[in-house]
Amino acid sequence: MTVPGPTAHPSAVSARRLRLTEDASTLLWQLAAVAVLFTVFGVLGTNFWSRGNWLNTATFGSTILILALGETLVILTAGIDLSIAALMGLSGVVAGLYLARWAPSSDSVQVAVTVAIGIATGAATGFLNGFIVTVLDITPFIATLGMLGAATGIVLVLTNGISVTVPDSLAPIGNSVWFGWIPVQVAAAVGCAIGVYCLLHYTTFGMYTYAIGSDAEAARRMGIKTTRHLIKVYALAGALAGVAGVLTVAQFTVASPNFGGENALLNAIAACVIGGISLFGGRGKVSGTVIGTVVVASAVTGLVLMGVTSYWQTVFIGIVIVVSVYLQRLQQSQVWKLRFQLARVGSELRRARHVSS
Amino acid sequence: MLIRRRSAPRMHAIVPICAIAVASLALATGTGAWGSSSNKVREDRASGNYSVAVVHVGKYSFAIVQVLDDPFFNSVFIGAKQEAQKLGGPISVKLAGPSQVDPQQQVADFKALVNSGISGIAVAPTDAKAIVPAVKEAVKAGIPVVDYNLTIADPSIVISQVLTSTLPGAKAAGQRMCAVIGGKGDVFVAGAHAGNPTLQQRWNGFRAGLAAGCPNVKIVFHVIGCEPSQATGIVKSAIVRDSKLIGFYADSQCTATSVVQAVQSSGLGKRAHVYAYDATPDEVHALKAGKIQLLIAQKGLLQGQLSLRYLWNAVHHTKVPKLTYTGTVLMTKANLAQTQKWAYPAGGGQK
Amino acid sequence: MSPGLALTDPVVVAERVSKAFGAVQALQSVTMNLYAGQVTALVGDNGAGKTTLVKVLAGAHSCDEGALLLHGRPVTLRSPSDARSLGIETIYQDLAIAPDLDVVSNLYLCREITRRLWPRGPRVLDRSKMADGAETALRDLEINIPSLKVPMRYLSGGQRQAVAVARGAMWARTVVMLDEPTAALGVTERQHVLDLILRVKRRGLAVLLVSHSLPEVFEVADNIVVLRHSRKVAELRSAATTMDEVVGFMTGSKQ
Repeated sequence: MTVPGPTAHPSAVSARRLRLTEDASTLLWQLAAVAVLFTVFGVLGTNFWSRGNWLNTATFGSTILILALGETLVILTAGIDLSIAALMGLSGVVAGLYLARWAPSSDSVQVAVTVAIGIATGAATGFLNGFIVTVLDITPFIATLGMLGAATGIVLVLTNGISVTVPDSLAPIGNSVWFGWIPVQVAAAVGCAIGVYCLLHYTTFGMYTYAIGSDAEAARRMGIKTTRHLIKVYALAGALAGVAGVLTVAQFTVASPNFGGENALLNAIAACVIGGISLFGGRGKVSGTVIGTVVVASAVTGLVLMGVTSYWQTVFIGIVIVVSVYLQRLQQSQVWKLRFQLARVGSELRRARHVSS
Repeated sequence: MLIRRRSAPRMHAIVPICAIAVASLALATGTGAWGSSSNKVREDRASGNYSVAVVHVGKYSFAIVQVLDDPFFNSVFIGAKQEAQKLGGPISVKLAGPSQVDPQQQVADFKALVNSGISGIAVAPTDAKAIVPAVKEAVKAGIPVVDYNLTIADPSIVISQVLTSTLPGAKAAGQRMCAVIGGKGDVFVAGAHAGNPTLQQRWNGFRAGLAAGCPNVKIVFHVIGCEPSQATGIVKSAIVRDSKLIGFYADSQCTATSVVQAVQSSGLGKRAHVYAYDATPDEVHALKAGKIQLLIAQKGLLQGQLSLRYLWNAVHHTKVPKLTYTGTVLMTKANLAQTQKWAYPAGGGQK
Repeated sequence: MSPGLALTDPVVVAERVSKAFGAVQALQSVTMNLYAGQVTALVGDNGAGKTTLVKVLAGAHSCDEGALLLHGRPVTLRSPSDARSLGIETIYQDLAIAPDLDVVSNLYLCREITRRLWPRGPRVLDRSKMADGAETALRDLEINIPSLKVPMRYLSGGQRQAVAVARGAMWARTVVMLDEPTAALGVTERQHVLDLILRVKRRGLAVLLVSHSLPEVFEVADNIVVLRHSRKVAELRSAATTMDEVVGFMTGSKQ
């Protein structure tokens, strides 16, 4: 093994640093982008740095983050879940309707049951997604597109197309703010982010997720039970959608058929893409998703603070997506050049040592 | 008409056509099967959500072609049933077709009805122009058509129009807002979708009413959409930006949900004045709870009654007015006792 | 291994193995012995049945007739996992590595070392143990990869091949099978892989090498098995034969 010497010689920069360079530079780029964005909004937008804006953006962003975390898991396996926002809507509506119509009472026990039902609904529909993708072997785009339609339709059937009022005992789950600064959604989103991070980086589950996304055939040949694993991934994404659904229905205390529309889906996927999760699978980190969410959420609120018509929101996010992907690709090609240089230097030095010894 | 986001599921065309075929078949064979003087309404549902209601009165059958299955159209449907009961004779109702906003689907439903031996059709066109050829077909076949709630592009071909007349109600709300805020502070107008003429009338009416008495009041307008999380985020941002926002106007049921949430969670609750269009159950609930101060309710019940009455008159060759405006009602907590009856009912015509 | 030494008992025996795919007979009563510490090359023209035989030994295909013996005892391989659990490792031509994962992760794929966060608690990856294990494994085989933390996609073809071979050697207890390992490599890298194969052999594992290149075969193999039209037509000691003879068997001019 090439052992780096005490002096700062070019060869001392072993390619071990290459990995750190790539990760660190990605993170740096992303933080720089966020800094630029915040500066622009801070200057051109009114009250960007106010507590009111923080509460608003954080609450809104938390829902996006939870959905984006679920989407991240699926995209890492080289799949896609187009139904994740609709599953959020379905879970929220089922939970809300339970408390409004079928629960024996609205006390705190029933509230807990309601939350459990919401998350379980998400997990069950996610499981179904996974089943259709793996066992029925339908490509994720189509499978989840179908689920999107089905979930949206079921919501309309359940609510008869109108919003149903939900008892107020559910409200604290969606409206509490702790210490005046931390909305409950933020706590939930942070919890989910930490959970998904640990899952992806510290467990075999995470390892297999990346492996399947990187090369599903290789993973299968090495003995990973891909069918079982993918079903778990989609079910987990559904469960996260369920969490988001419960938070949403609790926030509005209304089971509305409008929860989880195309905007929510777009925001979640945008957050992933901006955060560097590769749509080809196998690449991307949770930190990226978090930063992508920050960008998307602050864009929505920041533009309004700048007095820009809401029509421009999707335009802005579209531009940010394209720019992000372009910059990510630039950065990767730079890393590639760096590797070549390092390799060349390394091999020359090895030859030199060989000769001298 | 309630405004909802457009992404209702698109179901296979076979379903409504089969359902209407079944309805026609039953009509042809079963009319004599019912007892003579029972005024009880029998309902047959082809599916959970419906876009076509066929009301049978005696030997006639009238179809109400709805745009979507939601509280406003429920009130129309209930009004039609009430009128049918008044006209006497056994009534039964067949509900068919999936609920959707697709104009082409509505045209297909309409044409199927024309071919099914229907006596008369009342339609609220999703697309004012697309429905015209189908209506002309119906008229040629001798079937009277009433246009209700949403204007048709060519009013001359229908026997009657029963419309809401959006502007006066919206204007009245605007004037009232001006009075209530005393000409001080800013007002937020929340739009559900862009490019919808009915919604635009609701915005313009309100803005005109407000500007008439309060020309110096700033109006902040955003199309916030129907997705509650995002819509609330936008309204709250507007509140963060402009601390003088004191009046809020939601153009429909879906924007009402978000505006109420935004106002409540921004701590403006007691001071803000929230007005909203339409009177769905949760809007009325919010009105009673003091979260909304004014609702502009359309008179769906009346539109249903008049539509059926005019169709009945038409098949009995009685004269029918060309254009009727049913108007709107301003509902407040104070006048709720009198105006309660205009609140839109919950559920699919369950009353 | 000098020629003329008495052969010890074979580690793995494929005894009169036959396999057909529909109307196509891929293998007909093929018998092959693999010996510990020796490289056996499997040669033959395209379609002779080499890959099928490898897949049967790897547990990817079942054989219609015949038996597989491991240390003299018959075994049934119902899946590749069965083969792996018996210590039979296969390195396919496309390597079966995940390009976005690093070297350590690939070496330990599906065989990760985990530790419990607390007694009876959740299991997490023990990355430091795996890194040590990886370094040791690569060092023992004298494979020089500058960084183990780099995603595999950034390594050269030869380095990736070396990692795949190392993975097989790490986990194999009996046989390592390589399917055309040098096919996609340049001259220098090819030499590195051949040296690597010899080191694997010296560990005492049996090595099965499928190759199209006879010079390579003669460089590293102790034994040569020739397949032709799904039958074994020759089993030779490489020291006791020539390239022409082997070609003769392959083409059928020699019987």
